[in-house]
Amino acid sequence: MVNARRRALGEAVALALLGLGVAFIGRMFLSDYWLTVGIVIAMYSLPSLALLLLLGYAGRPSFGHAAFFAVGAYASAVTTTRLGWHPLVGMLVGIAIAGIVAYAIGFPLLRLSGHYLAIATLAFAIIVRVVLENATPITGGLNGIVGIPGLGTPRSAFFVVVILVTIIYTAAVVIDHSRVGRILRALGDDERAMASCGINPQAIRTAVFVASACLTSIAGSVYAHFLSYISPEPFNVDMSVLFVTMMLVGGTGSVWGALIGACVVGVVPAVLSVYASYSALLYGVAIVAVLLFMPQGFLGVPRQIHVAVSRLRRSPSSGREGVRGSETAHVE
Amino acid sequence: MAGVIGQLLVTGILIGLMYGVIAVCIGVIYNATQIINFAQGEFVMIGGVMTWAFITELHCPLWVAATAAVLIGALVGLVVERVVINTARRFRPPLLTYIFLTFGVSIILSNVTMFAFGTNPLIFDPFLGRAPIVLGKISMSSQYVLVLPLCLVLLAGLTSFFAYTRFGKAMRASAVNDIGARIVGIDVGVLSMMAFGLSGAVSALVGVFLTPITTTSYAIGLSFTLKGFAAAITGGLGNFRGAVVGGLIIGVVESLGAGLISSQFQDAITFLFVIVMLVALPKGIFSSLVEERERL
Repeated sequence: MVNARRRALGEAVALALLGLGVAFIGRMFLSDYWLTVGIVIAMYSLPSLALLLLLGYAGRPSFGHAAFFAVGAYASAVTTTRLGWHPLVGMLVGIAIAGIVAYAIGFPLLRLSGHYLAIATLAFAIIVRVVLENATPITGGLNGIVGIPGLGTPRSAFFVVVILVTIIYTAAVVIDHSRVGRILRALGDDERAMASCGINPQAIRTAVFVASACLTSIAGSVYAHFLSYISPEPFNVDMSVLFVTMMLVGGTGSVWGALIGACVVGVVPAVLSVYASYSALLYGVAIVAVLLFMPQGFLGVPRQIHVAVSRLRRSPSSGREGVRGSETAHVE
Repeated sequence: MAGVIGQLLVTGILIGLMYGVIAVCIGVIYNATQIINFAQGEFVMIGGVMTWAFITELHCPLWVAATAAVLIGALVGLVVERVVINTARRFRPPLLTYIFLTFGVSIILSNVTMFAFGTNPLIFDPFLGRAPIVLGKISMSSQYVLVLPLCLVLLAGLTSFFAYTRFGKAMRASAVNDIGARIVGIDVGVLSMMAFGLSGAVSALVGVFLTPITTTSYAIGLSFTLKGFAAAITGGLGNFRGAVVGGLIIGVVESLGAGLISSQFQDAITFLFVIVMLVALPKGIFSSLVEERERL
């Protein structure tokens, strides 16, 4: 127990130091281009974390988190430009709306199998986009909203966003290792055992879904202030797909997976900027390939290499035998 | 006004029948494998796009184009099953993994289509000519006339396939009790292949007939998946009669919503109804085959 607590503390401290280090060193040495890439990665690492929590704790997928992202972005944009409110208040408004909507969808659907939430979130995302496009008096319709207060130069924006993300991730690591985190993970393992301990799985699952929506909404607020301009167009299925890809590529085993996934998936388009139009296709291929060949994502790569190497060592001449052996083990 | 509502009802019912057939296709795969195929709408899209390509780019007659499209639909279904589903099956992943996998497949299929055929909506002429059919005050595309016989033939064919053929019976057996089915020597892998091939072909055929009415494009698959799934749920997953009823309900709601409330909000109304449906009737109107399995 003490050991586990020490490990949790170590992980949280490591994350916090890493975040602080990136914030300061990035601010000092990165060019504006890479600062912008960094902001985008940090921003998208929040929905990636949100989906990871939803999958890991509630065992449910969502393909519509772009809608909650849009809720945050529009809440910030509308409250700051039209009402002149403080950006932090705008962010809170977004969190509140996203949470209420998530509760309304999640409460009835989360007791059903995963398909239901997947379909409902997809449908919900389409509805949100249609509403944003047509509720012109509030959202500006297809023209969007301009003049949202910005985050300053890329240098200062990078610093602010990375610190914000570091705080959230550190909190996530602490919660993951706490009693609450253990309860949540138990939910994924055995729902009946939990119910018999007097914990209501349905209530916890709904709470997790609401939390993941709120977290995504925060990223949406950051997005609105970062770009100073929003329109309904980017909040499409491709964005939801991007979030799912980040989570799966990183690996769903721990909080670190969401961060690694966001970095890997976020850096690829920056490096291959020529092939921007291929990005959606790449995401699709990445989802399928990762699930088939690296089910633990990038987090699991060291272990996969370790297993492969030790297998080669055991039977250098007949690698094929080793593979077959492991298959039988699966079946048993 | 009555004429308008009558027309909306008729077109809604006919489009709804098509959704019903798509829902049946989702049910076929679900019954054989317990997988919900999120790429089902992409098979519909491929049917329409391929027919368009054969007609306008290769100047084939319609029946050649339609046959080719259906064969391609079946082939894509088979390839998806062999390359993705069957590979995954060897690891025995949780059902959740298949949701992500088929969703990934749908993204790949729609984006490959986008690179091959562009982003513009594609359309070809109704099979019976461009002149609309006029019945009293109702006037609509002649293509609608073909929908009813097509759906009746497809549904009758699928029903008798599952009632009388060995493969059909094996699929039903596997849906009710897949361990029992394996014990009596039914090859689950072959069933799964059959289900994806059959479901791909039938969905592609729906796409062929729908395109002159709704047009098609690389991005259209998702909305068919959503409507088909909602129809399948409404009727009770895996229950074919229920799937058709569910399809009819969604078709009528969509048509009335677009015609009477607002065409801009057509998608929003339909998908709001889909969510309401999921929330209100998660078990569906009719019981599903799989529930019978749970009862056993």
